[in-house]
Amino acid sequence: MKNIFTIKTSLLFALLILMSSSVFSQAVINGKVKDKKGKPVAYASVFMKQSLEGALTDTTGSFKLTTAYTGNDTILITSPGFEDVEQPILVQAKIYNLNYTLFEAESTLDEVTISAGTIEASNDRAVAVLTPLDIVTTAGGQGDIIGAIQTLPGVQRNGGDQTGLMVRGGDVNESVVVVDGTVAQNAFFSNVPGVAQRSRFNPFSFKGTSFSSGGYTARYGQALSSVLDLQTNDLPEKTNLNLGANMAGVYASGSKLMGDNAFEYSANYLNLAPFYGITKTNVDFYDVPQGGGISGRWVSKVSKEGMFKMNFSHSFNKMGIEVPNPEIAGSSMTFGMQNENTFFNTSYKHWVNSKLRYFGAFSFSNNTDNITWSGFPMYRNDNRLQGRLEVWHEMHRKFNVLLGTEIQRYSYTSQFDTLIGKFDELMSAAYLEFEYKPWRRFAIKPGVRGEYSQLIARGNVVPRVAFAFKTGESSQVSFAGGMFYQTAPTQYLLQGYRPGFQQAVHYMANYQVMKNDRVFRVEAYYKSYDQLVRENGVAYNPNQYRFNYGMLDNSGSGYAQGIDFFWRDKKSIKNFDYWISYSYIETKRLYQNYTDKVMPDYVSPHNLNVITKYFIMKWQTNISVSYNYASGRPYYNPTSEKFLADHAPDYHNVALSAAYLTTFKKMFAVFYISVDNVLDQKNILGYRYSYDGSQRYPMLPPMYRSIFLGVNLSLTQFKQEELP
Amino acid sequence: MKPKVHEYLQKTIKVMSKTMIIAALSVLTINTYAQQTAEETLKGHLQQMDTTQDVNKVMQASGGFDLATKKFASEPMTYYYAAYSKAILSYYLPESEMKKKDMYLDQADQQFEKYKSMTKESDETFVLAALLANARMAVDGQKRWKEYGKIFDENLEKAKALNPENPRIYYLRGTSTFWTPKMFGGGKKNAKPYFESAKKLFEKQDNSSVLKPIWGVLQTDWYLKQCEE
Repeated sequence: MKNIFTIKTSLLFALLILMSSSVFSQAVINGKVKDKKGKPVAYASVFMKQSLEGALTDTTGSFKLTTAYTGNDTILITSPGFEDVEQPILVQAKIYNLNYTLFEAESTLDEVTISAGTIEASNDRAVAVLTPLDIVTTAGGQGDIIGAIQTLPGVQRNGGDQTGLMVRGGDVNESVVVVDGTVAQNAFFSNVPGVAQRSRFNPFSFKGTSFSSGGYTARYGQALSSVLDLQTNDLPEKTNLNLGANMAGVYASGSKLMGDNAFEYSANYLNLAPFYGITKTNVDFYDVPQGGGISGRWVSKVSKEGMFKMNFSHSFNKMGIEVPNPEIAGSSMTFGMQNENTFFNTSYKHWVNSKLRYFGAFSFSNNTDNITWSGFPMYRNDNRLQGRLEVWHEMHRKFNVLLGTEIQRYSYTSQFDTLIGKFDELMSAAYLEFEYKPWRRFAIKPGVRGEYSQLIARGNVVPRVAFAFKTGESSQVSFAGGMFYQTAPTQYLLQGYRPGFQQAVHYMANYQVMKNDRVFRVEAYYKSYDQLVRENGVAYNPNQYRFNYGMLDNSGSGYAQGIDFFWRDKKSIKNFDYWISYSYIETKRLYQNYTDKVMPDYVSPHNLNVITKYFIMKWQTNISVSYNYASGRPYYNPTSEKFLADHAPDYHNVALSAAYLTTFKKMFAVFYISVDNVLDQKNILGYRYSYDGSQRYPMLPPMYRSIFLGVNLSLTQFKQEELP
Repeated sequence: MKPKVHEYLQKTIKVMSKTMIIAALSVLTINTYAQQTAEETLKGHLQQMDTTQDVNKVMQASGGFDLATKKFASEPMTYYYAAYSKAILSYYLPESEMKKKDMYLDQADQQFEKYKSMTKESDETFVLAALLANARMAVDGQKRWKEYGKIFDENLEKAKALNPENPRIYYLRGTSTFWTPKMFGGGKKNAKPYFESAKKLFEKQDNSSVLKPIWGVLQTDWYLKQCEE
């Protein structure tokens, strides 16, 4: 009995102890979790590391935890988007009331990005203003990257008579196009007097387009105004085959995806007879543009860390055209051209780890024009070799550095009748750029670039800097500035002149708000030009193909100042997207054969672009309408007292394009039509005068209203995981 | 007296101890009930997610899975479901909350990595990878379909190579087709055969434990109904 009693008593006491520990000595932790602004954080997880007790906060941010455990413990609070909070706590059997504040986690999305001077078009980056698809679906852009770039602020509307990009008062020589890190010397089809040429690129080849209208990075040089930096696609998503036909020819292209490697190929035959058959042109083709080309491409993902790309293209084109004679106003001349172009470029990017990256690129190009100019043969050839090596290192989360070097060797030859011109240039450069983000809201990117030209036996070292402040959740202010050098245009170098570098200094300030598919940007800039090439001892001649340059020196100068606005809204109306860009520029320069410091003859002070796109789901059709306005450009009037003081009438263009998208079987098809200058506006770009000034002839765009039709068929490999 | 007292005490103690034992046991039971197993915990949260259309409830369930990853840190399925729930949550959040969706998916990626490090590669690994890629794409379809569409396809192919009987492969292929515009080869009509295959395979699925992925059954029925309309 006694034994039983003892056992029972001890059992009782044991039970009493057990009960007291679980009932009487429980700790109760009440708490509230808030964010920095004092707003409750709902569904945050609150966890005690020792006792393994956990709870979630409710919609008021409150939680309650009870635990039998006493002693040292750690409270861990986590919620997506916030930094974790850990706090040691000595748990005793009592009631706690605790308050916690969570701080937003630093994510790269919230970090400031420098936006002054640059507009991004990319699929990769959250900061992109445009996507590559926007480029091809823009009415009036004619499916050309350059056409779409011309709708961006700061870019001069090209009336259709000049080949190239004219940015913020700069002429066509002052912009450079870069593909995968190396310069594309022949970005455009060869120059034809008075007829603008397209770029050679297929807009679908690029995953990213970064357009800088000034203040660009130290990676690049030899462009006084702007850089268009294009990045080709990585691996294609599928093996596919594309077939297309339009009024400019037929083409076939495809890609073969083999795991981490892909081969892409294309062939095209170009014949503009159907296009010029329908459209009335202001210039006569006695030999309609015809030609063909092939291209190949190899892309390799080398393990997880490297990306190798190799592009090759070769094309041949010929045409014969009757154009206004640039030498004698009022008369016309024949211009026949055969062009052969080869372009090869390769690049390799290797990530050693997430903080160290190497990049190397190499390119080669060769371009030959055989021209008959009013019956006289003319030969032009240029070729280029370029290499670039770069290393990027993130030394600290807030600090990274880019160090690189590039070497470019290019030569130009031209022969007209018995006149031969030739030059070889070897340009070497090195650059160093830092990026420092001491706070999430502030970033600064100083850089320095040194260049040496063997041709003119001169070098330069220039500073570049950009910085940005985040002023709100989705707004920021950035500044950029720098010095830029460029050698004289090729026509001077071909004749044996060796003037020094021309110089530009850029300053710009930018304010940008990006929120919910709406973008507002405003950018003001000032550029000063110095050491521009000037012809002395010759009278002004508006012919850009003139031969007599007199005595050349670097005494030219000028400036450009202006303001650019950009507004885009994809949000307000479903499936409706529009953007408006407006630029105002005030610029003067005394250069080349100008006789006075004036606004150059390619500049329109006001440029307005309104681009609209509407996707009609029910019809599976995308419709785009655009309107471009450019105020009249100055032109030379020999009877006028002031130099380049007369202005052409304003330029207007309404363009329309529609694309119908459909799938039948496994084939995706796009039918498209675009009409440029729908209203058949008779734009006049300026006037040319006879020698005595008694006659004037209007300079006209190559065509007024034009219609372009086409179809693209895309066949994708059948999916592997069909039904079981 | 003594024995009487003794007897009384003994009796009292007997009664007391009985009560005590019951009381103590009941306390213990309550404690055990609170100390759910990983399986029970996951099952509860999964049920909550499956039976609601309310984004707050989904968030709550997702928070529950997060908590489970800490409480049952050695159970890989806690990470699996925590990642899975984030993908589902990203579909529930309003279209404009792109940043937030990406943030949840960033966390899902981390949890998925943890899951992968704790388990052997299986068809379910690739199915979840495909789901996460699809969720990423859905954040900004127009810009991301190219990149994530490819990852989605690749992972489904890998999953199929390991186990062509996994119903979730066809369920995911179906949802992706369902939401793809008709002109790109998507739409209800094209999606339906996938859901039909998924349904057949789901019927063969062993639903006895959530420690094997079982999601997709209710959803498949919902999509099939949509396809019939």
